[in-house]
Amino acid sequence: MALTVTTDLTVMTTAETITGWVAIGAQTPVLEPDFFVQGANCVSRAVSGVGTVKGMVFDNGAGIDFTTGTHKDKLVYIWMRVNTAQLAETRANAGVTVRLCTTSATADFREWNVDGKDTIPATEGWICYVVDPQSAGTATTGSYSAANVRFFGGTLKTTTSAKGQNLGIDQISYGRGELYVSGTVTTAGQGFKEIAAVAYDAAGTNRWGIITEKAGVFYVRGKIILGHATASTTFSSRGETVVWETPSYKDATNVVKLIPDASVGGTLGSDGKTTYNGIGFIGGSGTTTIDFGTIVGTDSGRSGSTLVCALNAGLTTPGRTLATVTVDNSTMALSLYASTFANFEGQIDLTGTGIVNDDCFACTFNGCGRIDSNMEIRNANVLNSVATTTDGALIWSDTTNLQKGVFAGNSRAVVFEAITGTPFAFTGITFSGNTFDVRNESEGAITINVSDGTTPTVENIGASTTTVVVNPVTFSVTVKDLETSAVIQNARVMVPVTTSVNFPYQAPVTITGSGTTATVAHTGHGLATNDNILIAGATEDVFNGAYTITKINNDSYSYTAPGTLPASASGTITATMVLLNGFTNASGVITDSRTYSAAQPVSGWVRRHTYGPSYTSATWTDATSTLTKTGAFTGMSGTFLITITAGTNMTPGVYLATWVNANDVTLPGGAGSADSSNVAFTIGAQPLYRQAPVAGDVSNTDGLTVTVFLQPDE
Amino acid sequence: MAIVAGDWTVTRATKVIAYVGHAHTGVNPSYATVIEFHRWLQGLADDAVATPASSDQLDVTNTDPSRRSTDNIITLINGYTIDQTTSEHLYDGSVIQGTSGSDIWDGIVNFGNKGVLIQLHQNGSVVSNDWWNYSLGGTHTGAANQATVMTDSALSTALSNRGLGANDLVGFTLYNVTDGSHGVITANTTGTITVGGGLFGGTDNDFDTSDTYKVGLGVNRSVAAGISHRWMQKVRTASADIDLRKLLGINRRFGYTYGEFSINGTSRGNNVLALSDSADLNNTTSETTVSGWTDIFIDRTNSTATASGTNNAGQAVLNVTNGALFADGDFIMVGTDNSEYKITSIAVNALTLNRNLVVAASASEVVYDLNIGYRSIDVDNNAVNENYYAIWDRGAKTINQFYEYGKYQIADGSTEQVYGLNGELFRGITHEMVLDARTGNFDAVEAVSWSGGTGQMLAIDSETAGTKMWIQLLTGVAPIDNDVITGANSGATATVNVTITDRSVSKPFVGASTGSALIGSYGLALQTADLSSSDRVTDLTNTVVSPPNNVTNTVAGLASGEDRVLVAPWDGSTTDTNGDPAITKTQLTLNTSLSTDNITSVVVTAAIPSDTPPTGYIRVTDNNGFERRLHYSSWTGSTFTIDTTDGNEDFLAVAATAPKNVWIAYIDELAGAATATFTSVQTGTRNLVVIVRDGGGTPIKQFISSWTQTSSNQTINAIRTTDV
Repeated sequence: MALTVTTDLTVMTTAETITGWVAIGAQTPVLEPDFFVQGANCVSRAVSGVGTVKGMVFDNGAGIDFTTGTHKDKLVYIWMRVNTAQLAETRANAGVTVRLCTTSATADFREWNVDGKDTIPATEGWICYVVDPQSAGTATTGSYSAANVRFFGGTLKTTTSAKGQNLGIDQISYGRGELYVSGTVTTAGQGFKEIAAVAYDAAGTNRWGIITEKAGVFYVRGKIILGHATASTTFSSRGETVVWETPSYKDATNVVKLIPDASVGGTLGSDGKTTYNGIGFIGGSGTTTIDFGTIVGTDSGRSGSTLVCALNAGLTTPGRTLATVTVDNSTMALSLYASTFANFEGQIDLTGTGIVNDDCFACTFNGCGRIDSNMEIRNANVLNSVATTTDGALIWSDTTNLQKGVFAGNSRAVVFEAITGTPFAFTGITFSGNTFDVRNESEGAITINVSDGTTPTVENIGASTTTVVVNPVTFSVTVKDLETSAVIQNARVMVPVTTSVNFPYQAPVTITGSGTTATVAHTGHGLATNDNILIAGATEDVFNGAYTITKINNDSYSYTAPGTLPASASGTITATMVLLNGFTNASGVITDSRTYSAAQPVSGWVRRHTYGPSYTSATWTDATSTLTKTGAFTGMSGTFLITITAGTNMTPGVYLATWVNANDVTLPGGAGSADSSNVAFTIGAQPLYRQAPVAGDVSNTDGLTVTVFLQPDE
Repeated sequence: MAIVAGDWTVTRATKVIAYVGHAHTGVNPSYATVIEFHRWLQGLADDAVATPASSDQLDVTNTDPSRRSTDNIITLINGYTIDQTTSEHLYDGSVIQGTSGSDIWDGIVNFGNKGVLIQLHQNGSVVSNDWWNYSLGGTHTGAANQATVMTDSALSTALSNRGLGANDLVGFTLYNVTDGSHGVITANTTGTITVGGGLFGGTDNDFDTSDTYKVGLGVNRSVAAGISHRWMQKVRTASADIDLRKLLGINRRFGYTYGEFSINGTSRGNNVLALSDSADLNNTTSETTVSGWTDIFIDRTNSTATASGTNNAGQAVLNVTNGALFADGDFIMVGTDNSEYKITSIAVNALTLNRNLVVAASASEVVYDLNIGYRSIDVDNNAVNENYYAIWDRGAKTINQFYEYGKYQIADGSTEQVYGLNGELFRGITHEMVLDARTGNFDAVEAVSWSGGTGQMLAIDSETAGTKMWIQLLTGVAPIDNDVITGANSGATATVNVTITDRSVSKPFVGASTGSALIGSYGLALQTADLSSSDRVTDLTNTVVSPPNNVTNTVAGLASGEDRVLVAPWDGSTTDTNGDPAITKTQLTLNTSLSTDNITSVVVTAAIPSDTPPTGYIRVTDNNGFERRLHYSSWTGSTFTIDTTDGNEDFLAVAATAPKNVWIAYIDELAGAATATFTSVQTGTRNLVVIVRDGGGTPIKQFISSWTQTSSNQTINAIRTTDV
């Protein structure tokens, strides 16, 4: 097996014939068999003399529109060679240019000063220049139009007499510069080597200019797409170094990037990004397995590869081409071990739905853009991010699975844009040298439980609040069916504290009401927004109950009551902290993490006995599968369970109802076999369970994990 | 029906769960099974926050309110409670509440016909509020004085809410709550209810505007399942079972068959009753009519005291002329009213009674002692008395009418008192026990108790030295060997000596009627003259006794106060000179001469014929040939007991020497009415001669005729031919 490597580039000419070539300057170019990069020939000519400018362009026969249509936002890849580099003018003086012409070689053209004697390394021969026809270029003559580019070539300007055919141009192609890699790597760990061996093959057939090798380092001008929509891919890279180059040219005033950061017209590459550089991971119907490096232990790695975007210090503003890392939502297995992504200043988007919790161990992201990932990230180094302040080095969401690692030298190391998933766990994460370690721009309240790591500094934006809990312990309740041991979702768990060792327990409070907002005066309550409190003893019962609070200050908080409140509550009112107050998740679990100064006794219960109202004399319209009962479904929406208990033509059972309006729901067709007018039903869920207690001490070092078995109550 | 959440509240502070919907007879009451109740509570307890608008104050912050053992056994826990009113809207199981189940309501399910009405005996009483019988009611919105038709403008809605319509109430009982009357429904529309037979038992027995009514429609009935009632009955309170959780269900709807069904200690869940009734073909007289029958009563004796002073209905003191004639614990009747009273104390001539006078007692009205308790009588006329706990006098009523009256006395809603018990509570003898180790003297009938229960003693074979006692068990369990029985009024005691015998209870207590004969219940008899050979009674030895054929012969066509009537023996052939039948004056002969004044007996040579009336007159020929008329109060063997006080009993001056003639005058009196009768046991054919004479101001010619007593009653009409 071997890798299959293709490209999106369209070859305009391989310069194996002189046909179509048009001279720039006196004399004509010739077919040159003595030096070439592709095939057996190039097209060459002699350029000599002080200030002499000569060159040639290839007539494509028809103009190509790079602004719209099929070829919109495509680049031009052109191989050129100057055999007398030291006799050329400087780049600023148009020593070597790429010329794209609209109407002829000498009129209506734009030139890009891509090199000169001052920029061509002495060791260089053939260079593949990559030009965006839509970019400004260095100079424009006549009416050049990127929408109609017919001639492709370049020029050499010499400063003195020169000998021989000193300018050669070989294969010219155009496209986004993407390499598509599928199949199976021949030698594990040498994936890029094999790509390069195809893209710059020994026979000289393929000279796409996207990837080349020099001294074991792979240089890339374009994007490498690993994986295939239908074909299987097994790719691995270990210990390889891949460098994305940042070629430049001298425009009218500055030295700028030759390859733009993104499609000027917004065209997306096959990885879904507008960037031209970087790496994309795609999967498909075949099996896609990609790994960089080798796992070590359970959360580390070795032998990773290094992927670097090289700095071009020669730019007027030194910089790099904008490269991205992207994973699509296809099924694949992606493993990144001990690999380095350096200076990928575009987004590191590792959020494909097919790689949830795939390994990303011991990788370093240095100088990259924002990382967004749902991989299992362990022992990562996120350094010197170039992401904007608002983006942060890493966006943390409810799908983030990151433990251990270092965030250093970033403006904002971690950014929260939503509260979903709070509380968040920072486990083994070290922050150093970041302007802020955490930026909360959710406009909500989040809690961060910090274990074995650095306590982060926090920047709250707007109404955002962040509670950092250092070294929390977890109080977890798992609810199962006593008879089947199946986990029970949506069991309601209510566990308050039973002493005031850590939190308020039957603390006297006073409450005022306004509308449905209750404001509790509770001196030194020590609570945080989103904590739960149990209010009891109010004579006006609408104040009583368990509520999620919003902290106002250290001595007060508020909550929303279920009804309109009197101006104040009377009676002997107390407030008690509730550690767990909610439903179990799909795994039958509800948890709370926080810091305790001492063991905390708790006592509460688990219930699951949702029981809705019952009705009789409902009607069933079989043709539309509609159950009708006036007003029975007021205030409901979506789907919910209905138990048909009786009715002519009806099949008793539990059905998932879809809300239509306050009077109607639709049920699965099998609920009835014909129209009926005496249907009895109950809205609610089953099975029902008997309450079970939860009691114990939450250790301040180990927390408390409880499994509760509920006895069916049917 | 499912629970109607809006009809229920939960108060967080008190943990009281309350039904707040319509009452049973309201327009639209609601009921829930105990499992529905539990599900509803648990649903609330699973709420994140209570919903103020729904008046429930229960959510996940509160302790668990209920626990299900089965779908029919629910326990309210953690201090949650219901009260009696709320319990009445739950059914199909038990609800337990309080510490260690201090209060329990158990489910009752009656499998019976739709119209049956159920009363409960619990802890020695009839449960006074039989709410479970009434699930429909309202207010009469029609005109006043409606004897048979009740109109209610809200009836249509009320019926609709219960799934009922026109004529669905036929056979149920309609009660006028305001005036206390009731009657059986014969028709209904969606706006009216008709009681074709009229109302009975109330103050004016009709519907006036704004009278409230209720219908005897059992709660939570299920016609399809044959269930007439489902409800919960409280059987444990304050950590104590109410009379061992025993319940006795009875159905006594007048005009229908009676029944009873015992639950010997309820269990958690549903407890079954099987009470049904059907029209009693021998009980067709209206209750109104039967209630007016005053000549049926327990055998009684004129105390010789009379009422005195003012004795209004509703007072519990009866003033009498001679209180010394009575004793605590005596049972009495006054005047023509046949209501029974028991004397609880005596203050000279003021008798304090165990209940208020039902009717006023005018001065001079006779006060009767009831011959209640252990009584002996020779029903089968075999010269050996049997024993009964009471002997009844049916007066002029037929034996079936006696049966109807007995049913009336103990019917639903009865205000009568029978043997010292409320009529609804009275059942008859349930246990017989052998006694020894007596102390003191028992009353004839009184309440008794022992370590494990209480009862009403209906008879003891000797108030001073009883060896057997018969009781109706009221509470607890029957006595066992060595239990000491104590009389509540007398304070006397006796110890049970080994043997306790259960006795079957008849429904009703008087026994069964064939329409023309009574199959009497255990221990109950009527006076011999009130029984016919078709009747059967059962004495206290549980022996069925067959009465002889008491034949009543009537001489009719008499002029009251004028005609002298004589019915005398005849040999069937001898005639006088006029050819008329001649009295057989040699029927008997004296065995013992009569030669003293104030004789009290007459002894004849032969056995007195068995067809001799139990009381009456004999003629004894003295030595001067006069045929003296002597009244005997009884006879046995060859001896008549004489109680004459008119001088004919004086034989000192003129003796009657044996073997002077003696003959029985079957009737020998001045007509007190248009008829004169005698009753005797018929054993064969007896020839008689009837003579009617009137020699007064409007004389007639003598009427004389032969007559024959047969096995059936005979009547002869005297032909009164004017002799002027």
